[in-house]
Parts: sequence; C-alpha cells; structure tokens
Amino acid sequence: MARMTRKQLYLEAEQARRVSRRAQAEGVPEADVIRRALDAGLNVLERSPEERREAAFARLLARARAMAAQSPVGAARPVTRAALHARRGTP
Amino acid sequence: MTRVFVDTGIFVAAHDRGDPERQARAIHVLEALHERHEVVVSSQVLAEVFAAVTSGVGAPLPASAAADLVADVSEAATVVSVTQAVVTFAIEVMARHGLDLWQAQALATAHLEGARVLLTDGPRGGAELDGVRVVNPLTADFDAKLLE
Repeated sequence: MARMTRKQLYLEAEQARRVSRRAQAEGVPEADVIRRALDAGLNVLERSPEERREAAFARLLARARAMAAQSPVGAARPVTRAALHARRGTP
Repeated sequence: MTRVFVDTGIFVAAHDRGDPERQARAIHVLEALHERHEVVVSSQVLAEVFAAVTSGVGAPLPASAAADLVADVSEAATVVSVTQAVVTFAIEVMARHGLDLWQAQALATAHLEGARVLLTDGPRGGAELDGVRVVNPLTADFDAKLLE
C-alpha cells in the first residue's frame, strides 16, 4: 500500500451521500471510494486541452455510433430551426 | 487544418434514430472532421442541439443525456459566442442571401470567426456566401474533399 497522508476536509451533503452509497454497494471503506474518485477527477483535470478535445470527440462519436446500432424508430416530424426557437417549456 | 463551422443539424442527425441513413452520413462527417479539421460551433448551436435532441428526433433523449451530449460538443469544438457583432452582421445578410435569422447567425458566426466552410443541412448548400463555402454534408453525393 502506498504511503498515506492524513487530510481532513468537508464534503457537501450530496457528495457524502454518494460516497456512502457507493461504499456500501461495493463493500469497501468510504476512504477507498474517495481516493479512487480523486484519482479519476485529477486525471481529467490534468489532461491537456488537446487530450480533453480528443476524449470529448471520442465520446461524441461513441455515443452516436451506439445509438445508430440500436433499432431504428419511427421518424419524427421534421422540426425546423424556426420551430425550435418558437418552443417553450422544459423537455 | 481547416476551420469548419458545424451547424446544429449535423449533430442532431448523428443522434437521430428516426433516419438511419442520414444518421450514418452525419456520423461519417463527424469522423472526417475529427481526423483533420478544427470544429467551430456557436452558443446558438449548443442550445439548438439540446432543444432538438430532447424533442425533435425520432427517439428523444432525456435532458440529462442531452446535457452530456452538449458538454461533449462543447469540449470537442471551439465554442464561440453569438455576439452583438454576429447579430448585426446576420441581420445585414439575411435578406441578401435569403436566410432566416437563425441561419444567417450561423453564417455570420462562421464568417466572423474565420471559418472557411459552413456545414449545414439548411438552405443555400453549394453556395459561397461572404467568403464562407456552404456545404450540406448529408447528401448522398457529399465528398469530404469539400472540407479542404
């Protein structure tokens, strides 16, 4: 195990709930969940702009390809740009 | 690397299971852009993509999935704002080119941001407007060389 350093910090209530839920689901200590989440978050933050762009484009394409691999659905009535701007309300 | 302004309809088509042929073409276009070009979008495009994929496609996405999609477009592309200069230029060119305000804003943004190509499924495909080549990449005869 890597050498540990003690840190004290406050979590937002929702963060604490998510950590607790994840730890219970996996049967691991909450500290383990927090350490892994920190690694994942810092890996993203430390990427260069070009790496982030590449990763985002890869996600964009993967999502579109995954949707294309699903069964087609009935075509929606084509929506015009003007109609999009005329709409109101929350989707 | 050519600067290419990508309009709303291309992203929407890539996520519209209601028209598989068009969806496949849109994905092919995104792949070509990914490999060789700088993609530019505007804040207008981001909002329109969200509105369209949550309500204007064959299988609408939940708002949270649409938000993830918009976040990825934002990070994959260079995002520019619809500024007062864009609106002013759009109003000036809409009548001249026979475009509605929203299409004119896409053209104005492309022009003012130095994009040489505007990829759109809107009107005037094939035209050269104010130094911007307007290309509809969702047609059967689209050639990726038009992006060069």
